[in-house]
Parts: sequence; C-alpha cells; structure tokens
Amino acid sequence: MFTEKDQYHLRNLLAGDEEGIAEIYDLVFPKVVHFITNNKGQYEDAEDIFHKVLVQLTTRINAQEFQLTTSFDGYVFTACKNLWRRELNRKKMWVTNSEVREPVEDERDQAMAILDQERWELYRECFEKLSDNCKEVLNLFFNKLTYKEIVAQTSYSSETVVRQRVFKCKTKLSTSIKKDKRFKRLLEL
Amino acid sequence: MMDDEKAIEAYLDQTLSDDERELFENRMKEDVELFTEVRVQQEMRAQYSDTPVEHVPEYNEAVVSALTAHLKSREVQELSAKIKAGKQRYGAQNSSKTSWRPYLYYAAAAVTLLLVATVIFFNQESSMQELYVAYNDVSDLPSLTTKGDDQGDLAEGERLFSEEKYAEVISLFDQSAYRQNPQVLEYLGLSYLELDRYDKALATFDELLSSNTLDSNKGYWYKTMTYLKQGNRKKTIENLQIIKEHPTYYKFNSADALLEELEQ
Repeated sequence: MFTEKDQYHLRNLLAGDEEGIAEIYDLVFPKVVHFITNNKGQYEDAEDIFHKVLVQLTTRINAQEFQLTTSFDGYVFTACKNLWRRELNRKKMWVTNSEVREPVEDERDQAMAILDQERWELYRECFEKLSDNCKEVLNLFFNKLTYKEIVAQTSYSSETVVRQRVFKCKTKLSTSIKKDKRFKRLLEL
Repeated sequence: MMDDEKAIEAYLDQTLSDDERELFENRMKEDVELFTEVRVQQEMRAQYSDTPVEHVPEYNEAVVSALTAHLKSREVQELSAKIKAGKQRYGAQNSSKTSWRPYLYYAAAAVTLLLVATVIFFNQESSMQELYVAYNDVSDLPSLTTKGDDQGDLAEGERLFSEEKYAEVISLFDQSAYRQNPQVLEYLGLSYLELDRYDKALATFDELLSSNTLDSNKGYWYKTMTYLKQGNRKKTIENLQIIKEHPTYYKFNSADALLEELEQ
C-alpha cells in the first residue's frame, strides 16, 4: 500500500532534500545494516548497497516510468536485499569461475542491477497471481524435488497427476510472464 | 505440447545426448516461440529456486545503454551527492542523538549493578568458603591400615595425605585396583577436592555412592563439601537435603546445622 507518508519520502528523495533523505536513512537503514551484517557483509557494504538502491529508485522513476505501488520502506528494504544477494552471487561466481571476466563499467553494472530488480518484480508478481495450489506444487518443483518426492509431500495420487499439474501451472505462469509488457522490454528477443 | 515440455526440461537439466541437444538447439533457432519458452523456463528456475543458479540474462541492449547513459548524467551524479550528504546528516544526527549522555547513564547504571552484584557474589562466596573451612573435617577419616601393618601403598597413601601431599596421593591411588576400596575413594576424592579439581572429586564421590557399602552414603557429605567449596549454593543444599532425610547417614547432625546456616 502506497500512502501519503510514502509519497512524502519519495518526494524528498527525488528532490534531493538532505533532511528528508536523512529521515529515509533513519527509517530503513538500520534494518538493512542488520540484514547485511547477518549475511556475510560489513557495515560499509550496507552503506554502499543502501546508497545504490536510492539512486536506483530515482533512476527507475525518472528514466523508466516506474511507479511505486508498495510502501516506500518495504520497497527499499527488499531492493537492498536483492542487490546484496546479487553481490554475493557475483562474488561466488568470481571465485568459482576460472575464466577472466571483463570488468564491467560501474554505471553499466548499476543499469543491469536495475533491470535485475525489474525482472525480479515481474517474476514475483506473476507467481503471486497463481492459485495457492499451483504455488505449492511449483515451489516444490523449482526447489528440485522429483515428481515422486512431490507425490509424497502432497495429496496428489500419482507422479502422472503431479507431472500434469506442474505442466499446467508452469504454462499458466509462463503465459502470464510473456504477456507482461515488462517482459518484452527487458529481453532481447 | 507435453513433448516439448519434456524436451525443455531435459535440455535445461542437461540430460540430452549431444545429438539430441544439437537437434533441439537447431529447432530453437527456427522457432521463436520455443526459444522464448526456454528462456522463460530457465529464468523461472533462477528466480524461484531457494538456491539460485548462476545465470546471466541477456537484456535488451537499447534499454541497458539508455539506463547507463542516464546514470552517467549530471542530474544523477548531483542527486547521488545529495543522497550522500543526507547520509552524513543522518550519521551526525544519530551520533548526537545517541551521544555520550545516554551512554554515560547506562555506563553508570552498569557499574553500579556490577558493584552490587560483585559485593553480593563475593559475600556469598566468602561466607560459603568460611562454612567450608568450618565444616570440612578430615580428622575422622578411617585409617587405611590395620594395627601393625604400616607397609605398602595404603599406609603410604595415608601418610602422604596427612602430609598434605595430595598430588602424590592421587598418583598412588588413581588406579582401578585401589578404586574398589571405598575408603581409598574417600582419600582420593578429598585429595582432588584439596587441589580444587572439582569434577574429578565429584566423579570419585559418585563412585563412592555407587559402591554399595556401609560407607557409600558418605559420598553425599563429601559432595556437599565439594559444592560448598566451589560456591555452588543450590547443589550444596540439594545434597544436604538428601542427608537430612536419612538420620543414619554420615554427618546427619552437621548437615542439619549447615543447612540451617545456608538457609538463613
């Protein structure tokens, strides 16, 4: 829910109002510090991530016609979590991949991070539109349970029934994603 | 459709043979719908799994370039600087809000609390130590030798104990052959106790308790002494209460008196 209070914070951020931005830090930053320092990060990582997310949000609104529909602090916190996970994944990739990667220009990397966030929202929102039943079976499927294991954990009678159910739910989800206007804009097809 | 679905799954699971994979990839090149579906399903796996897989999506280059250019613009750089200034303001407010004043109060409160706790603790501790000195009496320890027999390890151990050479008592008696003798266990456990090796002392007195002899109940009194010396009030009282319920137990009267003093 986007309230007047959220509108107030967003306006202060877009206007670059230092006092208002300090209020935003007061509102969400401690939560972000807590999350990051509890997930392999330091205080400095939290500072960096938080700053990037605020820049990211202003860019999305100014350059992408993005409209904030959820609460301001909820959005900032979730975007910080996503960006931090992205950083951690990348560090892991650097460690596990022996091939040398071309260093990416900072602004280009931030642009990619914005698109990652947008794509995350697209996939998340489409998933949330599914029935509870579909969500349950797809959760198990995407977390690599075999059809046999899914039968054991649910009330479905056989693997064939599960396979058909997964197929139907996945098709529904895929159709809803492909129909979304963000999908076409994001991917190079 | 279902066949396609199986093929997509197999392709993403990387379980297709080389020939099958090549065939499938050729089909994707010609069939945009199939290609798109594979991309979506690949992305679903990355997005909905609790353990995300490494996957770098190929975004629309025009969108990426436009965003990159925007991020490099003076407008964004200026806003970024203002956000940094806002952060500094937050930091300054935060440090003045939580500056030395409240911390001083907390610190003062903590010091007072610590002092009170220390005084209470040491008073309790010292009074328990005093009680230990008053109640721990080894003068009625049974002799390990019979009249005229002043040779052998048992006599040697008894002599070492009276000379307060407790470590030597332990090295002499801490072997299975002597541990069968409940009276030796008394000397051994008390030697551990004198050296403040509480765990060993307690284990030895437990052994005495399970020895099923006339002397075994002495274990409760010795454990009481161990906990008393250790400053463990709760355990001391627990053991004393066991003795108090059995008038025939060793040091029944002393136990009653000690319990009274502890419960004052």
